[in-house]
Amino acid sequence: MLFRSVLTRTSLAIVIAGVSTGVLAQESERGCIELKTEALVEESYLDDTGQLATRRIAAEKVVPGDEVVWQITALNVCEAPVAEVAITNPVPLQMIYVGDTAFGNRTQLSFSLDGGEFTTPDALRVAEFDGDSRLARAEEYKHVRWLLEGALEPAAILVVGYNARVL
Amino acid sequence: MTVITQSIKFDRDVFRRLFSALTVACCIVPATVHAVGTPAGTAIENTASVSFSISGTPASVNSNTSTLAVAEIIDVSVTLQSPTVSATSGATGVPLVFLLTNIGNSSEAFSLSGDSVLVGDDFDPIPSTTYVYIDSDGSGDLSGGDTAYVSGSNDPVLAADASIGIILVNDMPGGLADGLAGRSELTVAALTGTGTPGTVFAGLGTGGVDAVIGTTTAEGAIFGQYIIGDISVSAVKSQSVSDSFGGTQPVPGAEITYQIIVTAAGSGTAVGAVFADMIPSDTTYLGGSLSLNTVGLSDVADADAGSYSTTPSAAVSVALGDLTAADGPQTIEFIVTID
Repeated sequence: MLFRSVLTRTSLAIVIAGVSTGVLAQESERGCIELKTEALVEESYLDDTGQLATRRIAAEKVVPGDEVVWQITALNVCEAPVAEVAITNPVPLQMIYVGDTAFGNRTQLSFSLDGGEFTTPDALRVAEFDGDSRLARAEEYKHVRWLLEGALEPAAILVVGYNARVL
Repeated sequence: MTVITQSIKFDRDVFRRLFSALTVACCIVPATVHAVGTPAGTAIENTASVSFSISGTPASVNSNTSTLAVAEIIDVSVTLQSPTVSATSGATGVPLVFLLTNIGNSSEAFSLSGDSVLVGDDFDPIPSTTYVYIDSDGSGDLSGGDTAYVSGSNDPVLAADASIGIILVNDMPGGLADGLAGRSELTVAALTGTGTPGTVFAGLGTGGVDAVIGTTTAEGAIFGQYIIGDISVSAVKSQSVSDSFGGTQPVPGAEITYQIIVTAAGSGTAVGAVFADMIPSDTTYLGGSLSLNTVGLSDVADADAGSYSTTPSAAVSVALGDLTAADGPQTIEFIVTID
């Protein structure tokens, strides 16, 4: 529903573009990607065949210890492809990242401890007091980043996410 | 059999906050530290961002801010603070001390009840005229400043992670032989409600949020035991932290060495004394680290006194045998690693 409304606005902008092309081009550049963040939880249910299945539904309430799927959806609402698409999400302060749960097709995944330097888990290190360092543990990751390989075509959708647990 | 149990649970932040205090008060009383979660009513917010380029021009946008409301989780812990109480036959007003802790994430009131007619013991202690006391003065034992508990009148209300001592007081029947055991049990229950984990009490949490029953079912019960005789067994627990940086910070990977000194005092024998201690949550037992009086014990249940088990929950156990005062202090040590 949100995306439909975005597409409507975009179509309107295109129609008006003939009047003021330069201004609308800037608008288009700023808003070519519509980004949506959702909190989901997995629930079990019986499907049409009576088999136990799982699905993700919107998280209504959580308590400490609950695991939530943060799902982020990017939609290219422009008529041109966008490149170098990088989605970044800080893990909420009241949560910890759950290891090996980040997902996103055609993306290169990286993490950060401080929001500055992003790198892969095998290179993400924590300095120790004695001058040595060790690999960061998953629960220490504070930011997650997905870099899309290739362009996001018009009307294409990129879905990424990860699980985090409420402290 | 005399069973001596200790319980220490914590999360890293709480442990860090309390650690300096614990070291100052070192070894006086068994320390109990519990995990507390994100407070009920907290709004967890999350906003993602995306950067990209279009026709070589960089741009970025933020997503909506998704907000999660943290509901109240109701959980309770009740532990025994008096390992085993020695009492003479016919003694009156003999206390058993428990510790009630709110391990939920919001303030909660609890009801209390006692039961001294239990199976598995040799005699039934007789509830004193005032059966249940609240350790109002925090002395850790029955004293003049304590308050008689009246159900529905002064049910203890505990903030998240707060604890209070509860005392059951019994008289010992006359004519009992030394060595006989009698049990008395404290049951606690959250007043908001109890039930299977996950049960929701809509709108009954603090501030009108939903309240959800946690893994403890929001109630708990544990019994203490009297042994007829004039011997008492005490356990004093202390801990030291060693991190991988050469310091004493309770960071992931750091080792906590627990030392428990069990001492029998008085006359008579504490028959079949067993020390048992749960491995704290968020830690992992270091295999082969259990010892008794500096002699290493194996983790498997075998001929030696020690064992480590993971069911029903991770715990170490040391069979101390028949303890008398003449045996002197028994020093138990084991190590856990912070996850």
